[in-house]
Amino acid sequence: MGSSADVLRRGAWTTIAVLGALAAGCSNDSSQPNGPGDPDSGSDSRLYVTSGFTDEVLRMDPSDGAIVSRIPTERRRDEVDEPHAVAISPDGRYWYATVAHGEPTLWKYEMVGDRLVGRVTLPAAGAARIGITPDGSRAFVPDYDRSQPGVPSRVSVVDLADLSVVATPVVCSGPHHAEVDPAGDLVAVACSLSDEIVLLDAWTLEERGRFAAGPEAGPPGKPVLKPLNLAWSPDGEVIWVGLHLAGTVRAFRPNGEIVGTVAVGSRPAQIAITPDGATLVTANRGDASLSMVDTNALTETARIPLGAEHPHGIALDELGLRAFVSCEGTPETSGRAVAVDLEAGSILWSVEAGAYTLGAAYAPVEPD
Amino acid sequence: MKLISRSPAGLIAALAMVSLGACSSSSDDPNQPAEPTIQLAFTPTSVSFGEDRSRAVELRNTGDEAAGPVELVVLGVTDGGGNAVPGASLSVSPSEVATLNAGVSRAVTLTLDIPGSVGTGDYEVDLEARVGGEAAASLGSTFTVVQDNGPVIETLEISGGAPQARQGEVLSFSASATDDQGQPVNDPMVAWRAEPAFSGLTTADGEYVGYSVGTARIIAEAGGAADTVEVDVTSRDAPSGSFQVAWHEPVELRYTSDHWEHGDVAYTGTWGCRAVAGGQCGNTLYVWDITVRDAPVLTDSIRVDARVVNDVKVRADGTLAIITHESSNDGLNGITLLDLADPLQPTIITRFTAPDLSPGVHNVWIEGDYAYLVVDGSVPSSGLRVLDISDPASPLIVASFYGGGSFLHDVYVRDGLAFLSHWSTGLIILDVGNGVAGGSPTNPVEVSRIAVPGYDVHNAWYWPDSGYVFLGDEIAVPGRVLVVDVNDLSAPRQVASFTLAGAAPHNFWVDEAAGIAYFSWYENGIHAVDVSGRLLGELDKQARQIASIQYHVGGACIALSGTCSWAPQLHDGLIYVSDLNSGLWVLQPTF
Repeated sequence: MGSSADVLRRGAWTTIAVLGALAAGCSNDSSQPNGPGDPDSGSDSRLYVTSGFTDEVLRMDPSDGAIVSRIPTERRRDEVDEPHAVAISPDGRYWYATVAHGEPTLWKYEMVGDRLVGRVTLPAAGAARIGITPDGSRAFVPDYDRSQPGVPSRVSVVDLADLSVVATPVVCSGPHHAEVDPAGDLVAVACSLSDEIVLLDAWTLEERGRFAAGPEAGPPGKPVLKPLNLAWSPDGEVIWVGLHLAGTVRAFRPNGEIVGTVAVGSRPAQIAITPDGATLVTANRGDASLSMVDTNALTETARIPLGAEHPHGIALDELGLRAFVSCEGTPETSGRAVAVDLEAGSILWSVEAGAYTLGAAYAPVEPD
Repeated sequence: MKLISRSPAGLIAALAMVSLGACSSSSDDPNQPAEPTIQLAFTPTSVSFGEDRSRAVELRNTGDEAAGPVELVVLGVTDGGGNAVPGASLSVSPSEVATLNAGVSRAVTLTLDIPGSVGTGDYEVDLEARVGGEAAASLGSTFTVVQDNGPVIETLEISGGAPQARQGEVLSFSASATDDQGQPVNDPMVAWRAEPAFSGLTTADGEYVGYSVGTARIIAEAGGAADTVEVDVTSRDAPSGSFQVAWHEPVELRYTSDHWEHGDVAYTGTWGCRAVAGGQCGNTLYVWDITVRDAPVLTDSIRVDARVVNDVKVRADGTLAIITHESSNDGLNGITLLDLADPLQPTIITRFTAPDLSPGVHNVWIEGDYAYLVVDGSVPSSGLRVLDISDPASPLIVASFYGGGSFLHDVYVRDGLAFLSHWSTGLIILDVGNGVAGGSPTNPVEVSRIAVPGYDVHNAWYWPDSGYVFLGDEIAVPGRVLVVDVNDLSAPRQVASFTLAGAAPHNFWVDEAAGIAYFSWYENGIHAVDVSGRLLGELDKQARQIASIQYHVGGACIALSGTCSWAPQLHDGLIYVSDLNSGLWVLQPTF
């Protein structure tokens, strides 16, 4: 979540998304939206974060961090299933979550009422993030299998209409994030354990490119950069990659040419780009900060302490003015969600939110 | 109506017919107006099984809203008396439909498995399509097992068994037959049944186990002849009593997981993350001095980088313990080995991690110089790891095994056999030194496996002297413990069950000398069950329950309060129980 592609598409689809949600509600009188502030309204902006150790997704109010509802993702009662990622469909009608442990699964919810409408088990050791095509028809969920460093792992390709797994191409070692470009043609895969970026055709799944995450890249199984997450620029010309072990973000052309490298906070996890493409933000797990990067000047413009341990997920609002960061916490402390005013560089709010809080996704508010 | 041969020799033939009466229901709870109406239906409305005992039906979403996931749950095969039939099953593929959009249908394959032990008669098996745990459509199915006519029998005479039996006592009858020439008929094809049907369970082999106190008529029929004997089923007169709480040591800031008692020390693990003021995640092992049984003293707390210390085991010689960890901050999961030179203040020998173990280690068993680790995950790189701990400071992974299908949840090792609780894949038995299949700890060899459709094997206890393995499924409600006969290790078969409404079981302990099983049963607390003698049929209908206790009334399981029993252990005549919500309980059985 939080890539430029997502943000742009969300903006473009906002009206349609809300109309779609309303139409869905109207198909059944009893499920009509009830207006702003109501958890079933389907017309408010929303923040979703995954609470990995309480097996639930928290729906929060982006304005103040209030927890609106807790949506269970309990695959196995009394076992830790660990919901990991959450993502919004481009049309705003659905949201999706992955459960990483036990039987890795992709869950599908209607935005209206947060109603569960499907769940598919993935042939994977661990389900990581969710990349969705701009038309909302396909998802790409990497199998973040760390148990066999150097051994290529798969990406599950899921038809989101019927939740069938249409393919599981073997891609690379430790894929963590697969993100579709704004045009919907290419999927960029961040291969954390082989220090690579792989490009797939989003529809034929043929490999379109493969390049090292930098000249210092380690061999498969011995990464020195650990590219965990990536984001496409809004124009689709640049792929930004967070290099977890290096503490940098690096911009590539789709042909592998390096545009630039920018030092950010320690151990960057998820990254996101504002809709105008001018600013990249990173959630820095190692030093509990958020970095802002000027994508034109290729410099870090701000590093904002979050005051919450182990930032992991990050999502931007539709205007790119606020960033929402999900922070794991520690075994001794709860997870948190933190909202940052990117213009002021200040914390808007910070609230306790779950335990081992991993993923974050933002769904935009209805425009006037 | 088709004849189905049940054995290569065709000694017994069965006619199996299944008719599936489909009906639909909807979740139209008026108290939840925001919930859309889910309407599913099976078609066709009836199916007859043929020689292959497999048929396809269609599940259609007839409503206006998408529905999913749709779980297809088989409620179990029952005979005409409403008794569960061990070993008979209906498997469903897929067992879960990811999603069904409005107007969309999905093919579902039903496969009937009728072992030779199932006697003649009428049977039922129900299937539900559930959405959100609620039945959205159901199939009521029946099938009939009949015997081939065989040769004409002039006389049939029942022998064996006994005129009187206690509830749960298994009687073995046989029948001899002669033809119209007065000549003996070898291996007559006998159909056995009991009247009244609810009085107990009969098998195709002439075995009978009584459930109800009273007179049961055992009827044998073959080739037009019949014979009847009566059995006076008397009360089982099992031991009776109760549990008294000897003491309780609360653990409030963390959930409590598994535990182990050795000598005068109790070790309790911790689990998950607790949402209370000052609540913590499961990163700690607590050590308790239980020398004074009603005044335990917390002597040590060992902190590790984890959010779940799911399991703790102490080696039989008491010199070493292992705790498991999952979801560490540094992503390196595995185990911690503890030196118990001072059992009240263990010292860490080493934290052992490896890429193999990075998904997390959930359970462990120690057998001499080897530790058997359960690695999370449903792929070949997960499953069982065998660790050589002869040098505990430098453990070495020496073997691995993955049984396919689903994830491995637990392991129990005894007499050179490893019993793997492999979730929906079932129970898998490995030779890890027994010799039956030439295996060793460094070269585990699969001996056999048994899967029960719809049953997720969570844990197992092997009782060598009886040849039984007790299995638990912590998900399905009503909760059911299954008993598997492994006297023939190459062909395990399910023979009995113990069912309780309202909750699912968790871990077990069996007092083998006394023939008493202690089942932890989450919200239902602890149950002591007489498992002596031969086990057949539904143990819960055989007056075998000795005692039970819900030591915390009210609340919920995995909450601030309320009974949530995780595991019992018999130790020095007391039952130690770890409870997720409330720590360590010690029960005094009065039986």
